[in-house]
Amino acid sequence: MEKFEVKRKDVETVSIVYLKGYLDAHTAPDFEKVLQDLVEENRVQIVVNLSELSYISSAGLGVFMGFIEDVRKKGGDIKLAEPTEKVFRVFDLLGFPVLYEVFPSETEAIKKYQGS
Amino acid sequence: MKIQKYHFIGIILPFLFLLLVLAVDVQLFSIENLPVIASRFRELVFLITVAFSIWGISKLHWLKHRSILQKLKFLWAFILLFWGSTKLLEIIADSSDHFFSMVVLFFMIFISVCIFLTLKELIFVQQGKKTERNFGLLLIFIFLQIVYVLLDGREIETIPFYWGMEYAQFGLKEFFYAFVILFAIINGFRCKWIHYLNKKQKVGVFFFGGLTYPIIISIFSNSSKIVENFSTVVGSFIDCVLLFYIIYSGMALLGILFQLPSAGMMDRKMREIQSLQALSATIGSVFDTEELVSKTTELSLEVVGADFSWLELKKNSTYWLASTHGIKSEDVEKIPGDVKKTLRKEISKNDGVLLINNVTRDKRIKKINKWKPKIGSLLAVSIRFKHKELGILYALKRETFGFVEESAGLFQTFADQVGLALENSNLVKVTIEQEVYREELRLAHQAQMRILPREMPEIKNVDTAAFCITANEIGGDFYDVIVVGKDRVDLVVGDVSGKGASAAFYMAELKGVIQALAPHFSSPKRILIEINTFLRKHFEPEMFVTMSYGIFLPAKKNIRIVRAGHPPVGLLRKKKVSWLESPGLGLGLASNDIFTVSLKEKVLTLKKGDALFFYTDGLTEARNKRGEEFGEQRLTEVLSNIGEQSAEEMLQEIRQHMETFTHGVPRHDDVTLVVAKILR
Repeated sequence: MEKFEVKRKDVETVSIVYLKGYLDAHTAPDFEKVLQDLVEENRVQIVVNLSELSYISSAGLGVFMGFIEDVRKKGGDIKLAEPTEKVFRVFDLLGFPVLYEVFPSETEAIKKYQGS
Repeated sequence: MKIQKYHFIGIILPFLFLLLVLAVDVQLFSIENLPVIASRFRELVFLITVAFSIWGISKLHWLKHRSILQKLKFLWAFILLFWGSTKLLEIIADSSDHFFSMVVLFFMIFISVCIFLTLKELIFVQQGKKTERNFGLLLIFIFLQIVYVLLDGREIETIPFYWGMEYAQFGLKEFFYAFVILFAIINGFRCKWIHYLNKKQKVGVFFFGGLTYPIIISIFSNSSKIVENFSTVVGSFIDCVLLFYIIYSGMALLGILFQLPSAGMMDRKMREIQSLQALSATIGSVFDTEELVSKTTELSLEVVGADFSWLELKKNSTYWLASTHGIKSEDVEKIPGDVKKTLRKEISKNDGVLLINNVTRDKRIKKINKWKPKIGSLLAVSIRFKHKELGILYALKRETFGFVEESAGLFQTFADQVGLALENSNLVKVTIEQEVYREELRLAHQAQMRILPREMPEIKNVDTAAFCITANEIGGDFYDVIVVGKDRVDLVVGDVSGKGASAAFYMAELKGVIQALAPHFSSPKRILIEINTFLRKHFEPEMFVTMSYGIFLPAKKNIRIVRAGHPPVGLLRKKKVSWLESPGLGLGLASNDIFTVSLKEKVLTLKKGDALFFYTDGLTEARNKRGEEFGEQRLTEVLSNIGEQSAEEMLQEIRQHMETFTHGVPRHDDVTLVVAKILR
C-alpha cells in the first residue's frame, strides 16, 4: 500500500487541497471525501496543489471527473497547480489541459478566482 | 451356549470329581476306621476340584464386560446364595442325606469360587503395577494354607474370632493364615472402583454392602464348621474366601464412608471435565455458527449445573440473542433492557465474569424479579477472542447459592473455548467466501481472455503479434485487430479506467461497440466520436477510456491513426523511434463538441521494414523494486536497439526487458502491446 495524504486549507473563498504521494484506486476515496465535504459546504472555488503528488492512476483522474460537473454547476471550478513533470505528462497525454486550467504556481491559480 | 474348554475344566470336571468322591464315600461308608491315606486322597480330590474350578471359571471371563454396579450386585447375589446354601446344608446335614449334602457342597464350592473371582474383578479395576503380583500372592498363600490342611489333617479353627490366649496356637497353619490375612489387607487397598460411582451410587453401595456384613459374619462364625465335616480342605478354602470378603468389603466400605462428603464435588468435577471434552470435540468438527451456539448453551447446563442458559452474540455494538437452552427465547427477550445493560456493564467491570449467588438481594439487578421465571443465582461470562468480545454466555439457577466459586473460573475457560470456536467458524466462512470469489474471478479471467483475439489474422505482407497481461485476474486493457473487408485492417488498443470487475465488463462492452461501428466508418476520428457519444451516455462520469485507433490499408501501406488520451503509437524506422503524438482528449471526458475539436488524425505512409508499436501505460508505468518506472525513455531505447526480427520476436524481447526490469515486483496495471511489422 503506497502512502497518500490529503490536506485542506481554506483561504477566504478559495479552498486549497494538497495531495501528497500516490493517488490510486486504494487511496482515491480519501481524496473523494475531501471534495465531497467541499461541495457540501458550497466551497466550490477549489485549487488542487499537486507539487507533492508523485503518481496518479486512472482512478485518481476519475475523482476529478466525478466532481467537476457538480462544482461547475455551482459556479465554481477545480484548478490544478504545480504538477510534477511526470504527473503533468499523464494529464497532457489524456488531454486534461483541455478541460482543466493548469498553473505553475498555487498563487496564480488562486488569483484566477479573484480576478474573475 | 457352546461348551468351551474352560466350562469343562471349571464346572463339569469338578462335578465329575465330586461324583467320584461321592461314589467312593458310598462305597466306603460302611467301613469303619478308614485308613488315613483314603481320607487324604479324598481331600486331595477336593483340592484339585477347587483348583480346577478357580482356574476354569476365571478363564470364562463372564464378568469381563459388566459394569461395576453389576459386578457388585453379582457379588451380593452370590453372598445370599451362599448363605442360603449353608442354611440348606445345615438342614440336610441333620437328616444325614449324604448325596444331597454333597450336591450342596459342590454348589458352595462353586459359589465361593465365584465370590473369590468377583472380588478379583473389583480389585483389578484400574490395575496398577503390583495388582497382579499382590493378588497372585494372596492366591498362593490360600493354597499353601489348604495344602497344609490337607497334609495336616486337622480341622482348622476359626481363630480370628477367638483370640483368647488359651486358644492361640501358633503353628504352621496359623502362619499361612496370617499371610492370607496380610495379603487380603494389601489387596483391600485396591478399591479404585469406588471412584467410578457417583454420589447416589456410593450411598447405595454403602448400605447394601453394609447389609451383607451381618450375613457374612453369621456364616463365618457358624456354618464353616458344618462344611468341615465333609471336607477340611473345602472348609478351609471357604473360610479363606469369607475372610477375604470380610476384610476387603470392610476396607471398601470405610473407603466409601470417607469419600461420601466429597462425593458431590467429585461428581461435579467429572461433569465439568466431560462437558469440556464434549465442547472440545464440538469445536473440532462444527463450523456452522448456529450449531455451535446451540451446542454451547446445551453444554453450559452441564458444565456448571445450570437450569437455563442463553448466549448473546455481539455484532458491532449490539447484542442479539443467538441461542437458549432450558428456556424459551421469547422469555429471554422479556428481560428489561436496563437489566441487560447493567449486567453487561458489571461483566466488563469485573474482568469478563460475573457471579451473583443471591439475585434477590443484589441491588444491581433486583429488577430481574419482575421477569417471569424465578432466579436465584446467575453466572455470566464474556466470550472473547484475543481481547475482542464476541458475545456473552449466561447460566442461571432457580435456587440461590447454586454456583460455587470455582464455577466462575471454569465457565470462563469454557467461554474461551467457545470464543475460539466462533472465531474458527468465522474464518472458515470467510475462507470459503474468498475461495468462491477467487474461483469467480478465475472464470471471469478465462472469459475475458476469450474476448481478446485468439490469433492474429493473416494480413498480406504484414506480420503482427500482441499480448495483454492483466494485473489481477481481470482488467480493463484490450486490443483488437479487425479485418474490415478485403483491404482494411483496424488496429485498436484501449484502456478502460479502473481495475477489476467493472473495468472488465466495460471493456467487453466497448469491444462489441467498436466491432459494430468499424465497418460503417472509414475515418478513425469518426469512429471515436461515436464511441465518445456511447460512453457519455452509458458510462459513469468517473469512467473514461483511452485509445489508439489505426485504420490500415495494407495494399497502399497507408495508416490513419488517432490518439485519444492514450500513450502515443511508436514508429520504428531504420532503428530510429518516433512517437506519433497527435492531440486528442480521452474518451468519455467531455461532450462531443469539445472532443471533436481536440482530436486530430495523423496519416502515415509506411515503408518496408517499418514497425508500429501500440501499447498501454501499464508498460511504461511498470515499477521495479526501487519504485522507478520503466518509462518512455527506456522504452525508446529498447525499441531503437531491437534487432531485425519477426513481430513475435520483437514482442517477446520487449516483454523480456520489462520483466527483467520489474524483476519480481507484482504488476499494478494491465500491460498490452501490439506490434505490426511491414514486410514488403
